[in-house]
Amino acid sequence: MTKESLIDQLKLQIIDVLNLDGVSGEDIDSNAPLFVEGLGLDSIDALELIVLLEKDYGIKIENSGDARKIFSSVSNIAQFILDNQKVS
Amino acid sequence: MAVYVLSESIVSPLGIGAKNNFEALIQGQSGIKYHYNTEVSPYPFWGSVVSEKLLCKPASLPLTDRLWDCLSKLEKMIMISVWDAVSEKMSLISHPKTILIFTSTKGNINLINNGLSEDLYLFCIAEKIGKIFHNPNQVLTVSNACVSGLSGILVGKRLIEEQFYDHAIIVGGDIFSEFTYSGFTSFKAISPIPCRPFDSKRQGITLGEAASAIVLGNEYSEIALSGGSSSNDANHISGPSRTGEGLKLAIREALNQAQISKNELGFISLHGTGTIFNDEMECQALNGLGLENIPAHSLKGYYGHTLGAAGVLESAISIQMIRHGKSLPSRGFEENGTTLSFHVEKEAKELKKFSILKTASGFGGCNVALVFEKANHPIQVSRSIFQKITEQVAFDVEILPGEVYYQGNRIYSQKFIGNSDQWLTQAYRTLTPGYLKFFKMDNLCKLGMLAIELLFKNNSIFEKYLPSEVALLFANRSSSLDTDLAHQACLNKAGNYYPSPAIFVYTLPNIIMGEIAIKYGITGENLFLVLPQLDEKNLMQQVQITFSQSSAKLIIIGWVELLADNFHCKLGFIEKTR
Repeated sequence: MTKESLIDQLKLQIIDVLNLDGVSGEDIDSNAPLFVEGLGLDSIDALELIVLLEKDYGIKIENSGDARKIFSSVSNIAQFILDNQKVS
Repeated sequence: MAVYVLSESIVSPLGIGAKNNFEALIQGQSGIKYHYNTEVSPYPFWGSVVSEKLLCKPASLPLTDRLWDCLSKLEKMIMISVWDAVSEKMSLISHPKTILIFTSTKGNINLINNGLSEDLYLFCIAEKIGKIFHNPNQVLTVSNACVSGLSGILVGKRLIEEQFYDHAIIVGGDIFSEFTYSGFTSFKAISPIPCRPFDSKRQGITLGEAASAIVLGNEYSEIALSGGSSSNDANHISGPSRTGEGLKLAIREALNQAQISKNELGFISLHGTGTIFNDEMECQALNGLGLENIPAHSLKGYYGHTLGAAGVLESAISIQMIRHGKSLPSRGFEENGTTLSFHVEKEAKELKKFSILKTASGFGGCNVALVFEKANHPIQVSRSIFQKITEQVAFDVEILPGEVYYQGNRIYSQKFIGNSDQWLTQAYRTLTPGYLKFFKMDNLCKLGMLAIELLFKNNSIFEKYLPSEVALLFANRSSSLDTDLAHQACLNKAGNYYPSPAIFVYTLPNIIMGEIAIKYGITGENLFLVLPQLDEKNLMQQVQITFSQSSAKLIIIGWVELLADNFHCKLGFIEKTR
């Protein structure tokens, strides 16, 4: 999967999993921060994203402290997935 | 009216009885062991679990053997600790001037897969306690996350002070369950090693189960309960305030009420769960109040986090510390791991001053602080009499499936076709300017949030008061059962289960108060009761004691009940000076 289409897919998954009512894929800037500014996500949202990565992409994040860096933008998440997803 | 502690009891992995438990702790024993139980988790875990062998029916307990065998593990633990606390005195526990208060976060949640039965209702457990011990009053149930135990004791204290009752028996209990263990796992909060509160190597919580009971009364006894207060951080529903604002407020109020200065305080028994955030918050609060040099500990290194039992269990141990004149160290602590240090006790010592501050904090931003102290002679309490409230509460907002009323007038009507989420969301979008966080909430919180926004839509009454003067008093019948079922459904999904942290955080009914506190910046007293129905008498008693015994000047009262496609909300407020 290309990074572009992964980013589009991720945006829809994030909206779904975090109940971001009224937000569409186009509303989310791929490079904008997700926490504090931008979408204003919080620590519970971070945990939900950790679950999303494990459930849908098979990637386990052991240390939730790493989460902030990985989740700093949708583009970053996509890159992290491409770097860590096991080739099947 | 001064309130004294007459007796206390504990049922834990270390045995039955407060004295037995205290002596085991002095010897350095801990209830935390390594367990392997696939009913709780597919992997082994550290936990503090009570052996079933301990739960034989006490010979004199007024129940047949057959009925005893029908009780759940939690119920047996509760009955044993209550019976032990009253020293088997039926006359005390069945007296009409004795109020029973049950505190728990999840009750018999391990039975959730057996289907919806009355076993799952917290007030049903409470009723059993009342029935078995022939108490004529409705047993109150407090379910306020991890502060439930201290909250229940505070309610008992205030009911006696206001002379509604002569005695209060508070019993707290919670059991180890897959439900709770999986939820905290999704929060990455479970420690892979026995918890180490405040330590640099701490990695989270260890869960535990226990039951504990405390008897309070108005007749003089060696130990007095001289101060108490609850507050809200108004910060985040699962993360505490970084600077411990709510906890500071509760501690300040409790110490003021007890008329104890920093120099007179002997020891602090903290919440100390062993998570990075909780322990850090507590160090900030203590330093912010100048209490960093008072010897302190967490008891969770011995018992784990016993949730709804914690406040009662840990108070019982604090009381034993005063009785024996000995303090207990903070098990698991070696080296300071919080940004600011404070005096964490590493060894058992002689207690120099006989007053102990006991605190707790919980999901929903709640905090409670109590002060226990040795009373060498009866304490004179001079407090101005608060005029008894005779009026009823006017519930300005009422919401039922299909209709919304404000001050008796129907302001919204939309056919309800059985989907609570859909109906509430549509009503919310139509009637309010909107709050983004609404859409992340569970149905119970959506119901409460819709109601509060309507209550304050054209009414800025709470702006007349300081945030700490506004109190929240909420109740319902089903606790958080609606969301509990959703969490359990996640666990039951065929194949690997992925508990959702966003669902788990709402499996506590007091979260609605947390959401309201955050939105409106309310930091005062807060209490969540679970009752069989909307009960004006009990709610007005709570209003009375809260106005009389705390700084509250405005109380927001809500009945927020929701289970599947059935819901009912009534919300109103009452001011102290009218």
